[in-house]
Amino acid sequence: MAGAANLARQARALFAACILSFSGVAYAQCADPLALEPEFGAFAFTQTRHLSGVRAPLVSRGQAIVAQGSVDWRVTSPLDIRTQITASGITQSIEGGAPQRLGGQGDAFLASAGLLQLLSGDLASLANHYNIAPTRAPSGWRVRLTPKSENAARFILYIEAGGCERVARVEVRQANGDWMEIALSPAGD
Amino acid sequence: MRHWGAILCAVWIALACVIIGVRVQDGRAFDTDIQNLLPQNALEPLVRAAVGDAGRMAASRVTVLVSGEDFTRVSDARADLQSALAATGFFAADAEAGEAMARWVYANRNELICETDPARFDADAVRARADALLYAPASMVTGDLLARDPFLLTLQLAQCLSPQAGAPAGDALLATGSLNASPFRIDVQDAVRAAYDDWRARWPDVEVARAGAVFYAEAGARQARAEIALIGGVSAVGIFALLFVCFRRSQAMLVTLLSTLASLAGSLAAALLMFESVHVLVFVFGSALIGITSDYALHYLATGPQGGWAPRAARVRAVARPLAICALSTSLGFAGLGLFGVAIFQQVAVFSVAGVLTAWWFTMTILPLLDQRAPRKAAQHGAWWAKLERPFVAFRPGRRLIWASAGIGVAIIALGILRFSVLDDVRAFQPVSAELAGEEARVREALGFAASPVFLLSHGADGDEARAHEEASLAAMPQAAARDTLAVSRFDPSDARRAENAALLNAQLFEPHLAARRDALGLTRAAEEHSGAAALPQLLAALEGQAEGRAYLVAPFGPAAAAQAQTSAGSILIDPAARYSQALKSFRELAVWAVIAVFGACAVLVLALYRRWRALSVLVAPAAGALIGLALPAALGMPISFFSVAALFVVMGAGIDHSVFLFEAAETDGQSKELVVFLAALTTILAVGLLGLSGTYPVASFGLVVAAGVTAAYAASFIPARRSVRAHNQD
Repeated sequence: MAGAANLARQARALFAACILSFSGVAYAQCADPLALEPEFGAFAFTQTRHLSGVRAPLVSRGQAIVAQGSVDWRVTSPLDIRTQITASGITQSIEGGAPQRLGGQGDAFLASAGLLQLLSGDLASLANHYNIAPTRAPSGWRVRLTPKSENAARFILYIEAGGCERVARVEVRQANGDWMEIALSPAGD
Repeated sequence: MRHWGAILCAVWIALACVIIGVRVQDGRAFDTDIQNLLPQNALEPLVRAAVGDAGRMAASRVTVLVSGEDFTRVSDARADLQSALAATGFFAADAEAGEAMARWVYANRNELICETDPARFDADAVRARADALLYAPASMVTGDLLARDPFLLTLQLAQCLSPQAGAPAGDALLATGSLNASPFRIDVQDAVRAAYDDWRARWPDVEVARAGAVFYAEAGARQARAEIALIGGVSAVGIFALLFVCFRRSQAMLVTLLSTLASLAGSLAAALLMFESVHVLVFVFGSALIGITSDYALHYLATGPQGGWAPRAARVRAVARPLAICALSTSLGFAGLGLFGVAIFQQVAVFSVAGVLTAWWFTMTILPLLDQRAPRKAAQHGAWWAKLERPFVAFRPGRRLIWASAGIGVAIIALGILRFSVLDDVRAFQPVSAELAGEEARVREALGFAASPVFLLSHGADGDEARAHEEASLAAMPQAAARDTLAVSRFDPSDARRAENAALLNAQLFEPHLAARRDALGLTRAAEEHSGAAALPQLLAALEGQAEGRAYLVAPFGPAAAAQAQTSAGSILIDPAARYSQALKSFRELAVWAVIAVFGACAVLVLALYRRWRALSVLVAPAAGALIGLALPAALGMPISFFSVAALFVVMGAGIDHSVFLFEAAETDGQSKELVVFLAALTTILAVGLLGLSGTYPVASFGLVVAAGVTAAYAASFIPARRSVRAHNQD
């Protein structure tokens, strides 16, 4: 009986070791999240927004083109919204309409959130705006970004980016409990 | 008898000092608003108040763009800057302004629309924008807001009601706020500058770009102070050195200074007695008086070494007649300005006439008492004077020199005519710091919005009517242009427009779509009808005012709005800089007529006093001075302005003085006046002409005209004396 129990313990330990070693292999195979080279190109995204008091999450899909110094974020479903972020500002056009420059707090929020760096995987450069805390995850790594600015902290609790070779998932937790996740994959996947 | 004159003169000067001392305690003694000099009409008080409001609001803004490689440093530096500026007691940061605006928009969202013309309202566009806010990346939507405001009108209105200025992108932050005191006050400028410099020393690693009138005003004031120190210093040293070389007595310098101060006290006291407030522009003429009135003292002082320190009465007699003629003709000229019915000219007339007469009175009564004792080495002083004067008296220009001088004069006038141009645009008057202009351009680039000085003034019997007029003007403009303005009526419409907006939103948005939208979104919480009260944000309240029993609104325009501005009944477009420029243009034209009138008045006076035609030759010097004074700067490419024409009064006064003294000497075979006239011309050029070196256009143009004009007038002032001597010889 004791032998059986020992066997069972050994089996569990072996299983756990296998799990750990596999996950360690998985993490070891992943790139260092803070040493990722900025990656430019086209990505497909799915954005899911969870708002309190709204029964179902709000899901939008589209394609983002990340280039040096700019992001062209195009929602194609459920409607056509094109948001362009450059160093000189942010514009948005709806359903093919004329681009309108965004102003006010939304603009500052977008800019200081470092969306460009986040999407291109240049996480290290976000250290200016956020306290960065990388952790291991079953399928790679996670990096939690906590805003340094008091103003940003009024709206965002934290942003968490996850992935292995590159950023594949972004989660934004708002201060009021609402949250949003963005799943990214190379365009055409 | 003379002593009574001196006592009365001293009493007047003491009284003048008391008047000045009492009046300057009153904040209204000096007026700096050029608008108060503009022609009046029925609407003028309203426009004036609005221009003042718009100017104060625009001038009070302070914007500093802080950027750098380390965002944490940038953020901390921005916070430190705002604290440092707030510690001056003159600055309030905008931190709460945005929240106040958001509260107002949220509270009024069901009575506001983005479109300036309700006929352009498009409910489908509102719904599309609401969806865009839901699905666009990282927009500021929360479940709480969506439950209360399912179409996200608050966020939409926050975007569309004010000019499309963005926030800076990247690692840059803005420190913005308003001054609670005039940025043109020296103490405010110094406090802000000191706080900024200290902060800059603490944060050398961040990059900064500044925008705001206070920075320009401080730079301008600093330049003016440096110029005053340099030009004033050189001028004072030059004058004192000249007087010391000629008179060899410190007493001569002292009494000349006293004479000038007495003249200024008399002029200012008279102006403050006659007018509720004296405009600072009048002091432009005040500086001219120094050049004229100091000559009176010089003429008296010269009688000492020239006349072997004759008794006081004899010395006074020697200058009494020419001084009286000079003072009378100059006073008459300045008094003529008062006939034009222009406020500033009336002030200049009183100021100048009082100054000239006080200087004359002082010279004839008090000055002889102060300078009645001969110096210890009187004979040596006389010999020295004679030695200095000898080359002047001996100088006889040959025909060749006369013709050459005339040729040069004609050439200058011809070139001046060819290159003649005028400048009335106040925007070109003040030199703008290239460093600050570059920084402001960076701020504008970061914000993506550039304000223009133009604004829409809407007025009515009450605030509601003024709003209705503003709404009508904005509705007539293309939507994109109308958005390029900060208008009260867009945030706080008239009662009629509020009702119209609410009806539109109900009929086209809420009734047909609200229930469906709540279902589609799956909103589980009931909408809250109560929005709560909110006060009109200070930023908007500052754009509203009352004047002469009428309400008015000021709507600052951006360049796009200014380019396509429409006005309607009850609304007018105001360009303050253009108004100021127009005022200066009309003053320049009036001043030209005033110069001609003064010239005519002097001709009549000279004829009446001397009763011979050849006396008119004393007008040759002021005429030549005026011509060359205007032509030389024009020939050098400097445009003519109101300030150039104002300088002609100095030129004419000095020219007449020189001519009259030389003419009198020739007519009466009295003491030679060549040296003292030379001294008078040179001190005027040093006192006023050196202003031509200023970097500020109005000051430089004034100084250059005086320098060129007085030089020409001095040269021409010998003509009447020569004619007089020739006439005597013929007689």
